[in-house]
Order: sequence, then structure tokens, then C-alpha cells
Amino acid sequence: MSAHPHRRRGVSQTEIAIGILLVLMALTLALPGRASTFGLLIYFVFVVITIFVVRGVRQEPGSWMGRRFIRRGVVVTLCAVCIGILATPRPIYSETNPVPGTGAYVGLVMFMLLLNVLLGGATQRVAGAPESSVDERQEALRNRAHRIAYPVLVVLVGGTLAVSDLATSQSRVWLDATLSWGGWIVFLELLFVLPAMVLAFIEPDRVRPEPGETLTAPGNRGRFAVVLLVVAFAIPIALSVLLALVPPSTTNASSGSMVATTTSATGNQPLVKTCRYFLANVQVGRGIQTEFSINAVACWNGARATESYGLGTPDCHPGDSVAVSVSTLACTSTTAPDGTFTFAYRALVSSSVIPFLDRTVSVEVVIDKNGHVLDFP
Amino acid sequence: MPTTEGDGSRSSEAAPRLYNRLAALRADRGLSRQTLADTVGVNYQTIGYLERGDYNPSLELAFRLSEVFGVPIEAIFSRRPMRPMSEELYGGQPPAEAVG
Repeated sequence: MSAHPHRRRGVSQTEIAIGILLVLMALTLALPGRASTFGLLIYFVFVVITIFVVRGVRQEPGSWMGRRFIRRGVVVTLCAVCIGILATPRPIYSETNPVPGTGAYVGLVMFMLLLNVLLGGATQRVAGAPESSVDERQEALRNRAHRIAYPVLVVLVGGTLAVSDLATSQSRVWLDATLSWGGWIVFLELLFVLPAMVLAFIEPDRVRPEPGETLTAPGNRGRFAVVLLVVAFAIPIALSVLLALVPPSTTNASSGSMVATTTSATGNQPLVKTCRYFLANVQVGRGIQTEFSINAVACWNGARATESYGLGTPDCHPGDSVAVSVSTLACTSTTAPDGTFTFAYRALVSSSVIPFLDRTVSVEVVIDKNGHVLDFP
Repeated sequence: MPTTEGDGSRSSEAAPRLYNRLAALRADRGLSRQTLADTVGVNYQTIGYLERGDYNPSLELAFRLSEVFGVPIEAIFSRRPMRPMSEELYGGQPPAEAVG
């Protein structure tokens, strides 16, 4: 019996495995606390699979990417992105600002990856294709691209290192900073992608199909690769949106009341006050996430509530962040005229993937002069 | 127009232009580029580049093309611009039947 000509294609084992991976990632990301970062590990596995699937697709690029001037435009843009990564200031870690500047890095690197995918499609990934999958013309073109690319790489990298090291003390500072961050990203990009960039630059306009001939129809593998690519780029964007929109989850703890006795300034009479320890931990986002916590020992004596010791930035703790920039806006403790004590921590949280998606997160502990908790997350 | 050598050992600028009548032969046999590419075992674009004169084939590929069309290599490729097939066949004179 012959197979039905229009029978639907069955789901492959790879598709099932990737489906399970995505479900597992979604479940892990939904977990509270640091457990959700395991979702990111699964995401990286997914990205690696996507890279392998995309690399295996060698269909004709469309009429746009078949044109040399468009391909050259992609190469020039890629060069500009590399320069942008090199020019981005090195992130400086500090207590209040744990990962500033990574926003520009992550955004540029994602854009660079997108351009790499475009470039690979435009050149049919001939630059890194095995011998068995290229014909003599493609092999000649690939060899020529490699012959041009590696001397260019040596001159670019060697020249930059030599000039920066010898020119001025400022250039040496820049070199030190660049070698630890963007420099490595750009070096790896050039090492692996420069042949494809050269190939895209030198290959003439591709031959257009004859009337009635269709070359761009993607096969199943091509469609599958496109779906994986869209999902791979959509996940960080979706997680960035979650960071901006989903309410923060808070865990808190407070001790029982403790009576403390101190002496007055004159030292003549004892002062009795009651204190409690408050700790709140706030998690914003899932996967692309940050945590910060406040801890305060608030005391009251029936006349006014205060913090038992001086409030400083150590009472506001920016915690671990994954692809998130955190800027502390305020970390204050005030006692109102009516004796109410307010301890507030406000931070601006933004995704490193889409830096303009940000939100202000506030945590407050408010206690009146009699020790009643008016606000605690 | 820059071309590349079949052996990939020389840069395109150094390769002499090779003229061909691949498109005419292919049209004559009713072959699409894809069919011809599959027959001789090369990429679709390689046939297009050959026809356009952007690529000079290796001797091996030239022989394969010659076998597919059943004509000598020099009937497909030439270092000088090629005359139309009709001119080659009839020397520029109309066929006898047409004259009669």
C-alpha cells in the first residue's frame, strides 16, 4: 500500500526533545528564588541545539540577501557592532550598582548574534561547511575567504594590541579594560565569523531563479530552524517583559519583640525601648531577575520609633542579578513628627537585554511609635 | 567581472575570462539549471555563475558538462567570444530548405 501523498509529517524525536526542554524551562523559570536561574541553563542548552540546527540549513538565501551590496551592508553593520562592543565602557562593580553597563553589552551581543545568523543564511554557511557539502566553486570561494580573513585577523588584532600598548598610558588602560570584556567577545567573533564576513563581501550577486523556478521555499529543516531561532530570541525578550510587568515576589521574616535598655545622654536614668528585627527579600523577574533585601532593627518607646543603629547602605542589599542592572535610588530611614518610623529602599531595575524596559521597585517598613507594623512587604 | 579558478588556487582577478554557450545548450535540451546542477553534482548557483562567466570550471566539471550535452568541451567553452550556434552550423547562410 502506498503512502498517502498529503499525509502530515510526523513529529520528530528532536522536536519532542526540544518541546520537553521548553516545558522544563518554563517550569523551572516559574520556581521562586535562585532556582529559576536553572531555567537559564536550560535556555543555553536550547541555544546550543538551535545553533546546530541552524548550521545544518543550507537553503538559497532570498533575493535580498542574494545581493552583494546587502551582504556588504550586513558585514559593515557587524563591524560597527564590534566597534560598539569595544567602545562600551567596562562594567564597574559596586555595592549599589552590581552590574552597570551590561545592558549595552547584552543588547549589542544579541544584535551581533542576529547578524551572524543573517550572514550565515546569506552565504549558505559555506565558510564553515564540511568538504562533502560544497562543490568546487564553493570550495574555491571558501578557501579564498579564509586566505584573506586570517591575515586580516592577525593585522587587526596584532595591530590593535601593539598600537594600544605602545601609544599612550590611556590606550594601555583601555586595552586592559577591553581584554577582560568586549575584546574577547570581538576576538572570538572575528576568529570564527571573519571568513564568512569576507565571503559575503567578495561573492558576486547570486544568480536569480529563472521564471517559474522557486529556490527559496524552505524545507522542513529550514522551517524548524526558523522556529527555533524565533523562540531563542523571543525568550530573553519575554523574560525582560516579565521583569518589567510581573509583580515582585517577596519573602519576609521578623523576630519577636526584644526589650532593650540603654542609658540617657546624661547617664542618669535608664531608657527602655522595644525592638524587632525585620528582613525582607524581594525577587523581581524570572530567569532575567534580580534580588535585593532590606534588613532593619526598628525600636520604639511609645513616643517615637527609630532604627536601633545608624542606617547606611549596608542595610539595603542589592543581591544577585542575572542580566539585570540595578541602581539604588533611595535607602532612607525617617521618623515622622508623630513618631512613625519609615525605612524605604527604592531601586531602578532594568533588563540588560532591553535596557529601556525598567521599573522602580520599592520596599518599605513602616512602624508606628507603639510598634504596630503599618507596612511590611 | 571577477571570476574564480576551478582549483581555487588563484584569485579571481588573475583568471582569464572563459566564454560559454551553456545557457543555449541547456535551453536546447530543455534542462533547468537545477536539473543540470544535480546531474553534474554542483550547486545551482555554480551553473548560474558559469553561464554568467563569473566562474571558470575545473577540467573535471568541464568534462562532466561535455558528457551531459554530448558535445566536445570546446563547443561549450572558449577563450574567445562564441558565435551563435546557427552561425556555427550554417556559416551565416540560411539552411537550404529555408532558401528553397
